Amino acid sequence: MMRRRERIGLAVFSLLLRFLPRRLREWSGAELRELFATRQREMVDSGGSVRLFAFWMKEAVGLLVSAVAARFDSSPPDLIHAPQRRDLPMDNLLQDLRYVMRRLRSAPGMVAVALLSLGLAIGANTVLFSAVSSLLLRPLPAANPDRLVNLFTTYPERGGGEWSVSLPNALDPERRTRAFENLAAYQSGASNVATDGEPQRAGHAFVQRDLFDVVGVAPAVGRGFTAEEDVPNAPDRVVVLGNAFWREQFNGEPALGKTLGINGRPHTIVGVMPEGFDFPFGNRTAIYTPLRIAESSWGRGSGGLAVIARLRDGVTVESARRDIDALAKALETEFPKTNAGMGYIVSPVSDVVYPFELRLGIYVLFGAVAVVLVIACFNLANLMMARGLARENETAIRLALGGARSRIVRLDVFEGLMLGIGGGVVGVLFAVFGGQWLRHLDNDAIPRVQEVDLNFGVFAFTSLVSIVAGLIVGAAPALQGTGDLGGLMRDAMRGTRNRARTHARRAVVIAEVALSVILLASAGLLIRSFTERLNIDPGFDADRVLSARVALDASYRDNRTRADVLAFHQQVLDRLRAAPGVEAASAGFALPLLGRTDSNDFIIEDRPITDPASKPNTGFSMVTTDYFTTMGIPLRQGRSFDRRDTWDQPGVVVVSRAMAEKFWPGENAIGKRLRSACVSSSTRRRAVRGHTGER
Amino acid sequence: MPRRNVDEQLPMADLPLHILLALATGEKHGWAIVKQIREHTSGRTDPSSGSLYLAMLRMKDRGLIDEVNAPRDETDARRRYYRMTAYGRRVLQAELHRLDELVALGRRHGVLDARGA
Repeated sequence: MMRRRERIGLAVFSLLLRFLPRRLREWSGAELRELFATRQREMVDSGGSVRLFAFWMKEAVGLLVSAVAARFDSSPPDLIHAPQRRDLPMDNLLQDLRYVMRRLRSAPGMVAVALLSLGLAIGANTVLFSAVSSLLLRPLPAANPDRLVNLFTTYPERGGGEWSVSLPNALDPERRTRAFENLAAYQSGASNVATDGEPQRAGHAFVQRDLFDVVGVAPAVGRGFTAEEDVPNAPDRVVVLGNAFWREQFNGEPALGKTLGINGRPHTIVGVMPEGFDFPFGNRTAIYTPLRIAESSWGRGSGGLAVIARLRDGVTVESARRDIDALAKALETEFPKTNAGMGYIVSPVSDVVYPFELRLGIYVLFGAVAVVLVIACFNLANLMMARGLARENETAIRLALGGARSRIVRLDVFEGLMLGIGGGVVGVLFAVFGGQWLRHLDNDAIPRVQEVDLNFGVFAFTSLVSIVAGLIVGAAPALQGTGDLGGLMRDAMRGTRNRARTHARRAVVIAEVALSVILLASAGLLIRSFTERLNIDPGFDADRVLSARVALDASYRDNRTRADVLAFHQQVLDRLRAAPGVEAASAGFALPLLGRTDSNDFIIEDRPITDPASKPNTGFSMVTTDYFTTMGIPLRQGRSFDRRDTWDQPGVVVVSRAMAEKFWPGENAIGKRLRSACVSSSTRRRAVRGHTGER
Repeated sequence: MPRRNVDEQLPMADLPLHILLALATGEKHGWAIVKQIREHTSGRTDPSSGSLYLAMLRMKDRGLIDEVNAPRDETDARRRYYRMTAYGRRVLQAELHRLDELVALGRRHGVLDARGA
């Protein structure tokens, strides 16, 4: 079977074949491809990437040199007259190269401009091509990832959106439709992990034991989870490590059977995942543990789980959607209390990991950078045309002395090739630095961005771009034509210019300016919307505010009362406030604008609910005292939370100005009472005590 | 067929010379020629596919080599076989003779010892 890089190599080679003159191509094309494929196979079987790359370069250069050389062959030689051996271009190749080097050395300014502009454009192209190839072209770490889908629930009547799934609703699609081969529910977050007593926060995935079967990736070392380990209160607590975490924490030494403290509880290591595997895809997950929940203990009306499923052979995403829509209807009639209005969403995992907007963004950026490269080429072509004009006298003299016209053209092509190759080298330097910068970006912004590396395909791509750029640049003066000798000499003497040549230059300049205008306009728009976004007042002041996540081990909470836990947090805050340089400190469940806050239906007292299905709903967060001061959120009216508002006191709530205006327009919201509508056990009345400037 | 002059093909470039030497042991297809050249030169000469076919086209144009039908035991129908023409053999002989004279000259002048090192 042919591997991907072989197919790419053959495709590029086939493309380069087009450079051969028609006669050579028709005579040898199919065989050349065949020979290339055979030798490439030999390289792949025998050696590493470096040798294959060297082979590619050699074949590409050999082909292009042959293409150039063959262009200067006369058609089949006249056998009666002696062939003119001395005109064989191969003999003059080195001489020409030396001449071109000399010519370039005499114009260091032009060379510097050319190398910098080409290099910048090629460098940017390389970085983006790396990103595209490592992120979008490299498959997700799973067997047949295009058959994997994520399932979400959705409530179309309440504005849609993707919601997490309860365990019964997660398992029904496998049990009651024929669309899925298997599926697994999971949750992901972070946990306190202790190795050798040194705790750290690490990415943690809680997965049903089938998960590794669903994605089709087994642990590289050890085993996955057994059925006995994936039940509530299973006596054995086990963990499978992510490869990167295993390398960091155990230096790649055997870890099976060792113990790892997770949230204060000892877990036995039973497996290590293979390198490059991360689940959920695109997250940096250090540890995998069994989900350990029973269907009976998770109400159908709850949520909290993510679901990944593998489509059965021959089932398309569309037919899976039809099946699961029918299931949703059936569930609605069977469980009207919990499933009324609920539907499912089926999304291919690649769409979830790389949403359309992200892909589009990368491709648009790629397009823009490609345009920059085209502009750089035009720019150079223009420079070289100007040089060609300045050299007309020299050309005229060469022609007059019997110099071959083909050779003069060839010098120009060589000059372009040299600049192209030099630009490629400079570009790779830029790309190496650019790539390092890209890897420093946050993994949250672009999933798997750390995996972007300047791989070997990218180097091949750069080489190709620089060679093509060189050919374009080199061909420009040649296209301009060396003209007929008489005309050239007349022009040279009179100082006039050939009309056709002037037109060619004008066309280049026009194209260049047009492309630049497009780029400038779009860049301007982008900068404008960016500054507008920066100027939006978010309602809080993030200046000088630091945030940290605090999570108590489950074992700490086990033996303590709620009051103890509250006291712990109070103590943390008190000590923070006492620290020098700290103005204010507060704790809460979520930071504004970051991630999803919890949301909750609520009921306003003294206001009857007419339609039970459309209760008012809003996002909410629980915070400690001083939250508004710490976050710099201005209080418009009423009071903020203080030490009176302990958990055994009547509930109080601060609402945003937007909420006050929506639900109590023209009224004073202070003192109004509302009630949570969802969590019946802890339903407490809350009195509105203040409202803020937050939108 | 016009009478063809052997001397006008001399001296030969490296690659055509090696191609003729590879074909001296019998008809071959492109890949076999590459392998034979590598074997002859212990891997020091390993022409790129493009240069090989350009050189072969030129040699065909000069009448040094010829295409022939594939032998009956060849399973791959895409493969074309090449052989050295009689003219090619004469050119090869003349070139080797020329080189041999150069080597002898080197020996006589003490540049090379008897073992050729």
